[in-house]
Amino acid sequence: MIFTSIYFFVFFTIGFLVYRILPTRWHKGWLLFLSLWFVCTYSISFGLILLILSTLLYFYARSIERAPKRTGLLLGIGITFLALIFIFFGRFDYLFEGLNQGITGWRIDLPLDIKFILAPVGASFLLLQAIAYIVDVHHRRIPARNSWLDVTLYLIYFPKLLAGPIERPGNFFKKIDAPFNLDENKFWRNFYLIFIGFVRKILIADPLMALLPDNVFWVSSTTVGFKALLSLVAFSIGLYHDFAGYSDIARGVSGMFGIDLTVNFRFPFHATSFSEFWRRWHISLSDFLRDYIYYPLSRTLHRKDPEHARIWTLVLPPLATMLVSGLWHGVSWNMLVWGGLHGILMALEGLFRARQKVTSEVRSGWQNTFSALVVFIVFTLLLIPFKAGLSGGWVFIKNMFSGYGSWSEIAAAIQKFFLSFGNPMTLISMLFQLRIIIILIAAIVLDNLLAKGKEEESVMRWPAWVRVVLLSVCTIAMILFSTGDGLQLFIYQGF
Amino acid sequence: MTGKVEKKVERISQAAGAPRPRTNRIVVMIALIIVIGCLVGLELFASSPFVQNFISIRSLGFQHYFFEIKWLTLEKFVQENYGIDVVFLGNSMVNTGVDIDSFNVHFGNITGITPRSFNFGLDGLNLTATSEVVKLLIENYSTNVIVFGTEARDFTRTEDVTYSVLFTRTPWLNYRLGRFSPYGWLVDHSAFLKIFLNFRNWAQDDFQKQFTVIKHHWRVASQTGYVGDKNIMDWTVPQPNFENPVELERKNQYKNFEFDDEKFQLLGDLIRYCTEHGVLVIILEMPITDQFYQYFSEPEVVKQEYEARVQATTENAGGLFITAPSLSVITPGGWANLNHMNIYGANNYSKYLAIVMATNEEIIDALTDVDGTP
Repeated sequence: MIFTSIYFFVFFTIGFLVYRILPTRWHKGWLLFLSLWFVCTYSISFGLILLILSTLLYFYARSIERAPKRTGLLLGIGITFLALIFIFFGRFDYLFEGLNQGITGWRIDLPLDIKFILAPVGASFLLLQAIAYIVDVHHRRIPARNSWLDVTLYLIYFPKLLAGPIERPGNFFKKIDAPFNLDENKFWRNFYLIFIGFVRKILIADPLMALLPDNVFWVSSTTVGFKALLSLVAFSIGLYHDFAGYSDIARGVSGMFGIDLTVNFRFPFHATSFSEFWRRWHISLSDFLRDYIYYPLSRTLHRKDPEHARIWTLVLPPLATMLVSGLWHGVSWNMLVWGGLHGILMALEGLFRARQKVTSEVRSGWQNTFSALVVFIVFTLLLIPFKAGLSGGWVFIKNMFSGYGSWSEIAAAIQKFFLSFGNPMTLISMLFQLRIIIILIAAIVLDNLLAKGKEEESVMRWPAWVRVVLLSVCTIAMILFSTGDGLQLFIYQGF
Repeated sequence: MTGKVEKKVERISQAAGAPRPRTNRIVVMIALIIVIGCLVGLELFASSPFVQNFISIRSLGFQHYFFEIKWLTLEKFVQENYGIDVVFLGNSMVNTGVDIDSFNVHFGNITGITPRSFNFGLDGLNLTATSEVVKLLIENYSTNVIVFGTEARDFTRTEDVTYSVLFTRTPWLNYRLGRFSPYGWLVDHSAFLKIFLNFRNWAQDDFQKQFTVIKHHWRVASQTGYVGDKNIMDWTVPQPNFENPVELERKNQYKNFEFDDEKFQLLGDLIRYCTEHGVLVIILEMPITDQFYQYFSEPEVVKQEYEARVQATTENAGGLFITAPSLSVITPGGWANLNHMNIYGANNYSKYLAIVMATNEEIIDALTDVDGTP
């Protein structure tokens, strides 16, 4: 069941209505029931595994708390155990494939029923949250919860299950402990969040991803020139709207149950630097990596060599953090390269900023726009190794710089476009061929309008007639667009 | 006066970005009315005779558009002929290999019965999908005989599972088979959706190319479902040619060919299901050139095991098994490629089939009441 399916709509509506009727003391139980139902639509076995894991987590955190002396050993064992479990369930099929390729004469196909017990959704998100819980208990940031239900809900709460946000246990427990409060204003805020999420996903991200030519990022790809370049831009903007859409829906859905999830995405394409970009894209993961890798590493470097710490604290922590981020996205060389390159960029930026001491606040508007454009272009280019791998990426770069045709051919194409205005049928056909560009323009316009309002839900402050047009036109378009073959999963759901 | 003040207060609060729940409710309500109005308008427009005549192609939401063409042609066939007696099922070999007109003529000449026959052969129709199609046929039409053309690859272990899963998950199919599917119901009852679903994959890069192909197939679809292939295979070049990467890939694919017991089980279940519903099932061994078996590492073993197991499964489940004719019946000029007959081969094979079936009393009994009257 994915957020954009009709089944989710029914599931959510019933879940929400019952939640409103139930007495407050049953709210957590109902949310857990809904979450389990949600997990089991992917895989019943996985639901059971998660229940067992959350039970283990509950007892383990309590035993850490009760231990007479809190040593790193108990924590280390816990983290290793969790990592192994999630690597097994989340990456087993990759590991198995690797074994198949690596060992001569070995070829066993996984039976389908075994594949189905493997983590079908957000294994990495679950892992990080489980680790955060025992780490926070170990460091006495929070007490171990007395309620098994709370711990299980923290782990598998359905609006954040697929792709985050990665909630900190302390924050999450505070939110579920707070009395249920959903006034009409909050209701409409969540309504518009969900709506904008749907628009981003169904009307922008899915069509852009579908419009990518088959195998465009493969080694064997034959897509060249402007089409290859356009595909890369479409992938970049598609990925952006896919994740933004997911984050909006997750926040909106959770907000309807009175639990405001952490903002996980705040217009990263409007960031004027790479460090700012990562403070806006997948904020909860960035914060997690910052708190558990970046800061500890910086502190260690400072402690070990206070004299020369400055240069290393500017270079090593971002590099290490982004390398880990790369590995989090996938245990492969291309992800390591992707993460490493981002790390280098952030390190260089840190060094540069240390000299310049210029922030975006003192820059002029066009300077900020230019910086945001540079960040977008570099981010998009770095998606090549991310998406195509190393060898495929190299082929893609070569393809992108070839096959543009002569100037006369380009001029002829432009002339053909303008001539088509004379014939309505030719114009429709021409516009249809240019649909990828039309969607890209719509995507940029929507994102800029929302960014102007500083938050996704700013749409609720737009004039009433604009909202009527937006709601009616987009709803009709969504009903029609969602009839395409196969619902597209959220990209981050695979991590 | 009070109204004016209220409006002013609302305007001020709007300017300050304060909550306006009542406006939100009105906005959503108006939008909802517009959406419903537009959808109803589209449905009325699509149901109009003008649109119905102008757009001839329809879709039921299957990824296998040949299925839709066949099914909707079959619906028309049944309406025009007041029923159906014999349905030929199977993959592309049946699609191009059973010429319905030829079969009817020869069967009629021998028995005096002209059955209302339809060729429902489809590219890539595997056993899992066939089981669903059979149920659909039995649920919707009281056909007397189902003839299912098979070949060794139908029983392979390395079948594409995704395809059959997608086929069987189609909402319309589930709705028609009596399973709960609101969307399936909508597709079944909406004239607009049946037209719009043709354009549902508009966002795909190759949509225009694919749509042109679909339009072409709708144009050339025959009333009896038979799709003749006019190509004649060139026997002067080596067959199969393993220097051709496509054919080499196919050889590699069938190098470790293994039969899947579950497929035979599925075939048995399918036959038993039909028999329980009073439908006679005939399983055909489709003719294939000897050269085609070169794709398999042990051609003779595969061929013999396939024949023996299919025959045993069929007869144990209460069906009839008809072996492939000698290759002299098809003749070298009757092949479009190594496993597909062309129009000449299909004509010869259909004649052979008509003769074999016309001499079987069980089949004659099943078709005795056939008269094609309403």
